[in-house]
Amino acid sequence: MDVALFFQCMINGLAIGGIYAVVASGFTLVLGTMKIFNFAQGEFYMLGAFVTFGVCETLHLPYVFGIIAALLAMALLGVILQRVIIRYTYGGFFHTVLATIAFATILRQTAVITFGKTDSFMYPVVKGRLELGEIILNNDKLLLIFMGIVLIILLHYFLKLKVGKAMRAVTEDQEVAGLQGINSRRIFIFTMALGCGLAGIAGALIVPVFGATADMGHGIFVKILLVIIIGGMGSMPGALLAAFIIGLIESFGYQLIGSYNELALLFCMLPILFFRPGGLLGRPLAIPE
Amino acid sequence: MPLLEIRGLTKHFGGLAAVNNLDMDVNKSEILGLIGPNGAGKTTLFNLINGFFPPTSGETRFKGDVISSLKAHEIAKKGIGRTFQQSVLFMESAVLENVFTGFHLNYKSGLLSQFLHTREARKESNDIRQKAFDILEFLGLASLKDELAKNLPHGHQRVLGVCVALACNPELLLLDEPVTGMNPQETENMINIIGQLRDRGITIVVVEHDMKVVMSLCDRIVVLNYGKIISEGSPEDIKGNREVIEAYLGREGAGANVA
Amino acid sequence: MKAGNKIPFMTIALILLLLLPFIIRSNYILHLIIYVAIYSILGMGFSMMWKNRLISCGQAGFFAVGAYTSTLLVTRTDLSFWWTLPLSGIASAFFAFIIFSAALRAGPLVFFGMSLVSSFIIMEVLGTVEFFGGWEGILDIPSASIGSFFFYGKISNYYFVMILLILNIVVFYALYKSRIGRAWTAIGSSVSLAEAQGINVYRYRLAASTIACFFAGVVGAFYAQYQNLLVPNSFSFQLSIYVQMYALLGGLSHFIAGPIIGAGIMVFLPEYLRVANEYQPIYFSILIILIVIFLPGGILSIPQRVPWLAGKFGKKKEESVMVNE
Repeated sequence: MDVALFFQCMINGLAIGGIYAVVASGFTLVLGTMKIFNFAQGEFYMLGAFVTFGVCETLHLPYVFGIIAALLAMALLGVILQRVIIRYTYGGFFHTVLATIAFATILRQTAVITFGKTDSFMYPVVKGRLELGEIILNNDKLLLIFMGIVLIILLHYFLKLKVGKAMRAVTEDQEVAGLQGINSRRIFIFTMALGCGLAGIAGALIVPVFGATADMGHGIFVKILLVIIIGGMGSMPGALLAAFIIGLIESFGYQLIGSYNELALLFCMLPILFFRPGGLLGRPLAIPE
Repeated sequence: MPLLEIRGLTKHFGGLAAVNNLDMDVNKSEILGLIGPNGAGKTTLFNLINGFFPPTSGETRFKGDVISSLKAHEIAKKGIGRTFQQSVLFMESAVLENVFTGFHLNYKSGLLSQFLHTREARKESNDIRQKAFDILEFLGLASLKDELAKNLPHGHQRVLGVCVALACNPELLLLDEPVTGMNPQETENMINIIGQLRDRGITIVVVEHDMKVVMSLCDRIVVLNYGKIISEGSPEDIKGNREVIEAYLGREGAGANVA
Repeated sequence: MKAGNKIPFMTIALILLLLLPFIIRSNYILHLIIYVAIYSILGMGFSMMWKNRLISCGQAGFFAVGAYTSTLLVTRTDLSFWWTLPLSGIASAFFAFIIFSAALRAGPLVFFGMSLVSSFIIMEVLGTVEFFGGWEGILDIPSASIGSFFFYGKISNYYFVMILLILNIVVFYALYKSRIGRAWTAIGSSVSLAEAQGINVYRYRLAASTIACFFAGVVGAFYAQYQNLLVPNSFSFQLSIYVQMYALLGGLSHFIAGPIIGAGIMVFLPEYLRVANEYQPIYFSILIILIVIFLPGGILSIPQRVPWLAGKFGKKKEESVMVNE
C-alpha cells in the first residue's frame, strides 16, 4: 500500500467515522438519559438524507436549508415516536425495543415503496480536491470530517449548558432530578428531539457525498450498535473513539481484504469485548428491569 | 480464628468512598449487628462480602480463604447466604418452588442425568423438595407452600427471603433489614427465627434500623458511618456511646432512635 | 394437572399430526404448516434465551449458518445430508458460543446488540464472499434422501420437519423441567438472587444461547434441502424480528406453546388477508405496536385477563405449579 492510498483510506475512514460518531452520540444520548434503545436511529439518518435531497434537489433551496430541514423533521419524528408509541409501552425493556423496531420497519418500508431501492444522488456541495504531491484528498470528504468534528465539539459544549446538566441529572437519578425541580418529561422530549435530530443532520451531511438509499438506515444502525458496544454503552467519549476506530478499520479493511472485511471487523471486536466487557471507556450497563 | 475477616476493605463509587479501609471480624456462631445512618455503607459492605461488587482494595477471608476475588455464585458455594433489603424473590413462582430453586447448589447428580430425568435424579429432586418443605415448615410457611411469592403479604415475603437464603446451606448469613416494614407480631416472629438459626450453628450478620431489635438480638454491634467503623462493642457499650448518639443525631435529627 | 392426565391429550395430538397430510390434501397448506414448524423452532430458541432475559435479534443469522453449513458440505464434499444435519447444528452452536461467550461478559444489553450485529455480518459475508455463492445464492441443492427415496414432496418433508419439531419440544420440555430450567427461571426472575444462591449466571446464559442456536442450525439444514436454494436475503434482520414477534404474539411467558401459536397465526393470517408483499412488513409492524401496547402478555395471556375465562383456565395455571416430578 503506497502513501497516496494510505491517506485516501485514512480520509475515508475518518469521514465515515465522523458520521458514525454523530449518529452514535445521538443514540447514546437517548440510551443514557431515557434508557431507550432506539432502533429507529438508522432510519432517521436515512430520512434525514432524503429530506435534504428533497429540499435541495426538488425545491432548489441552498444546502444549509436542507440540513436545517433534516434536523427539524427528524427531531419532530423522534418526539412523535416517544409521545405516541414509546410512552404507552408498559411491558418493559423488550416491549419498548420491539416498538421502536416496528416503527423503524414502517419508516424503512415506506421509504422503499416511495423512493425505490436505487440510489438518489444530489449535486456535490463542494467540488475539487486537495493535491499534496502524490496524495490526493477529496474536498467533500474533508468537509465531512470537518463537519463531524464541529458537530461533536458543539454537542460537547451544548451538554455543559444548563439543559445539558439537567439531562445528566435525569440520567443519574430521575427522582433526585425531580426534587431539584427538573421537569424530566420536558427533558425526555428534548433529548429525543436532539438525539434523533443528530441522526437527521448526519444524513444531510452524507447525501452530497455518497447519495441516499432507502435501505441505508439498517446498515448504519448495525455499525452504530457496534460503536456503542465497543465504546461502552452510554459513554459519550467511548462512542466517539469507537466510531473513528471502526470507521478506520472498515476503510483499511476493505482495501486490504475486500469482502472479508465485515467478518474481520466482527472478530476484531470480540477480543475487545472479552477482555474489556464494559467497552473501551465504559462499564457494563444493565437492562432496566 | 474468626469465621470472616475483613482487612482494609475499600470501595469507591466515582470519587466517593462508600466503604473506607474497613477492618472487621465476624466470629463463629455470633449474631453481629451492623448499624449506622442511611448511606453509611452497610448494604455496600454486604454487596462486597457476597461478591456483587469487586472491592477497590483490601480483602475478605472466609474460614481462612480469600474470597474477595471470587464471583457472587462462587462465594455462595463457599457458604455465605444473604437476603436483600427489598423483598427480592422469584416472584412468579410458588413459595415451595422459590426454596426449591434456591437449592441449586445441593445437587449431586450430573446435568445429563438431570436432563434425562433418570430415577436417581428424580429421587434426588424429591429429596430436595422435601428438604425445601422442611425449611418452610421450620420457619412456619409450610401452609402457604403453593401460594405465588408475589401474592404473599410483606412479612411473609421477608421470611421467605430467609428460607431461600437458607437453601444454599450457609454457614454465614447476611440479613439486610430483616424486620423493616413488619408489624410487631411479625417482628417478634422474625427475632425468634434468627435466634433459632443461631442455635443451629449459623453465624448471622444483621443490618437493621430498628434499635430495639438490634439491642435485644445481637451479641455484638458494629457502628458504621461514612464507610468507617466508629464504634464497636456489646449492646450495652453502644447504648452509652456518645459518638454513636451523635452520628444518629447529626444525620437523622432524632436521638430517640437509640433507645 | 398430573403428568398422567396429559398423556391422552398428547396421544390425540400426535395422531392428528400424523394424519394431517391425509386430512388436508392441499400441498399449499402443507407448505405453510412446514413453515410454521420452522418458525416455531426458531421462536422456541428465542424463548429459551428470553427465559434468561436475553433478547436475541439474530436467530436468522444462526439459522443461516446451519443452512449454509449443510449445503456447502453436501454440494462441495460427498458427505451425506444426514451427517450434515447434526454438523450444521454444531457449527451454528459453535459460532454462537464464540460470539456470546464474549458478549455475555458484558451483560444482556451487549448480548442483544451483538446478536444483531453478528447476524447482520453473517448475512453480509454470505452475500459478498464468492465462496458462499454471493447475493444470487446457491441453486440446485439436492433434497435429502434415504436410499432411493427423496424428500421431495410436501408430505415427506412435513413428516421430516414434524420429527424435528417434536424432538425440539421434547428436549426443551425436559430442559425446562430439570435443574437447568429452574436455574434459567431463577435468572429470568431475579439475576441478583440467582447469583446469591450460587447460580453461575454467565454459564447458564451461555448454555441457553448455545442450545437455542444448535436447534436453529439443525432446522436451517432442513430448510436448505426443503427449499433446494439459498439466498442470503432470506436470512435478513426481518426474519429475526418476525421470530421475536411470534414469541411475543403467542405469549412471552409460555416458552414452548407461545412461539408455536404465534407462528401459526402469523403464517396463516397474511395468506387469508391477501396483503401485497411490499406492504406486509408495514402491517406486521403496526400489529407489533398494537400488541406491545394493548396485549403485552400475548394471546395466551387473554384467559387470565378476561374474568369469566380466568375462572376456567386460571385455576389450571395454579395447579400446574404444584406438579410433582
